[in-house]
Amino acid sequence: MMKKIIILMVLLICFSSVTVQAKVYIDITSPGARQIPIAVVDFEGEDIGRQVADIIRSDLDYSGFFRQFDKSVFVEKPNQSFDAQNWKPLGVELVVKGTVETITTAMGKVLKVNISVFDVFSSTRILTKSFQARESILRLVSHKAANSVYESITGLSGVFDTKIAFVADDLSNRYTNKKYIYIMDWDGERVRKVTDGDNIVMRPHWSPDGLSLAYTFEKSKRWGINLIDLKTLQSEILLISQAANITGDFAPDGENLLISSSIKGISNIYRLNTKSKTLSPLSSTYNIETSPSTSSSGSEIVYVSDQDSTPQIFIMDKEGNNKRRVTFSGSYNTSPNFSYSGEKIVYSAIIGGKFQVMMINKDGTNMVQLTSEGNNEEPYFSPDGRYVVFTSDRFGNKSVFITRNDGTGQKVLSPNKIRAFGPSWSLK
Amino acid sequence: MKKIFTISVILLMMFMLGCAKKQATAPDKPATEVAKEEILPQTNDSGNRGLDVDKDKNKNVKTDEAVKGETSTPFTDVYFDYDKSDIKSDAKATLKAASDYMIANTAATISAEGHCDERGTSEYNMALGDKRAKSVKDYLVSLGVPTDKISTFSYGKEAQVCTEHAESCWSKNRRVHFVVTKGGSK
Repeated sequence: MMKKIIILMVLLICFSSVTVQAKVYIDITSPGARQIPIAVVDFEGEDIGRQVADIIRSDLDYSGFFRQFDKSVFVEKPNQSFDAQNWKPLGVELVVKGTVETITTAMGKVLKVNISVFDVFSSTRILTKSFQARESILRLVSHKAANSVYESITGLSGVFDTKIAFVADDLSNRYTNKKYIYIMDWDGERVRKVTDGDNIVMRPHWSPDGLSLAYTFEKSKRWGINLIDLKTLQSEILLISQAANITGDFAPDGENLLISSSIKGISNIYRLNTKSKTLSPLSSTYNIETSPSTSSSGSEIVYVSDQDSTPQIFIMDKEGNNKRRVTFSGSYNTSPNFSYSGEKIVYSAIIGGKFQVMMINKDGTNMVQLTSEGNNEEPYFSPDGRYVVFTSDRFGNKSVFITRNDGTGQKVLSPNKIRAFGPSWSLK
Repeated sequence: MKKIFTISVILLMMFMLGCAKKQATAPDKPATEVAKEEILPQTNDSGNRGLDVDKDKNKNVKTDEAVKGETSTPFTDVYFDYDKSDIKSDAKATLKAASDYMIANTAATISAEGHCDERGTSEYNMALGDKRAKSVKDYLVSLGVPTDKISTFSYGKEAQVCTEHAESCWSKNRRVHFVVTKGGSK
């Protein structure tokens, strides 16, 4: 009996200490969660310190979960140590501070970014973390720092250091019609071209490790699927034929790619092994089946089928069985993307003659329209499902846009004045 | 009973140590993470934002370059209804003429190229263009053209002949276009 009580006590003590550590300041999973008042002070370290703080502010701001303050009202200067009394009168609940210094390591001269998050109410530090990196990736490091702030407050992983791939015209040569694949940070910065150009290029898809992209291209009247290694920019053709071979999502194993191909007649869904380059059919039908997308578990695949005469969103299990229709509203629903968690699907639907981005539960309930201006297509979830990138022509040329998953905060991400489309989001 | 109590106390102390260790990971000793960019394509020029790109370039790509320079065909395009791939009755005369030509010119091979209008997603339209091309091929085969004389290819909506955003244009884009790939008599 005594033993039981003691063990119970021990467990209680352990649990309570864990709970204290994992305090969640805002439960962002609850609808209508309030915005938490947070102050991000310019980091110590001149211009660079300011830049880091700006990027963190911008990342936190777009998440929609924070209310930020103009730094002109801050009483506490960057080089002063944290004092809760400086923040209480302003109504600030959390304070982010940090320093950026140049240090010499085995890597040569690198930046060291130190970051702290303070809870004003309890006057305690809830996070201390440091990053070391070359100055050339200052933006990436700042995004990683923003992730740690976000994680320390919400208890959830941030996506601020993930990337978006898309297809676009040449940024520097106006005399070519070729299309290129680019990657950029989640905030539209650091746009980099990763291919040499093809006549026609379709939406790229990231491998789960974020180190390669698979995409469909046209060459001499054949459709090929290319796998490009983003470390070396070397590419390898996985499949090429006269059939319509169209890249879909990678399976979670990173070795198999879901594709659709008309190699046996009509476009059906296959698993393409990127190592052995062999194709395994997931279904064999007389209907168009295309645009396969899967969640982190890989247990289900969402795709488009015209089996009921119009293109609609369907789900099947990973071996191609147990097919069921998800969308019943409207006569043209295409381009589905499964959320990483496997709960939600985004897709594009024709509504009143225009394409709009829609979100729906995988069981077909809770359908919501996220866009309304112009044509909006090709939606793709962020890894945490909180944001969606898509293509919109609302300002004329097609551009890559981002929105929160409730339809707020819509803005252009791709560079100005070029046609950009086919976005997809990396998991890492 | 006493023994159990002693063991329990020791256990309690061990657990508390364990708990204390967990808490010690908090503040003051910052974990340093070395951040690297694993993907860093340096060989390509980076795209500069705001770069002034000629506006004309933003128009849709017209006919693909590969199409130019090939033998022009004695065949005329076959048109389709929106989101459909079945052969319309007004296309049957065109296809009869095409099959007559193919049967008479045994050396000729053709490619049937399926196209779609701008509405709809690229991927679905690629599959639809393919279905249109194959539907034309099946029809020609049913009229007696050997199956190995006809190849198919889909451009989806990627090679439009008409770029207005109206039905007058869309109907022209929903087509199967023929290209003589070998033995054209013209």
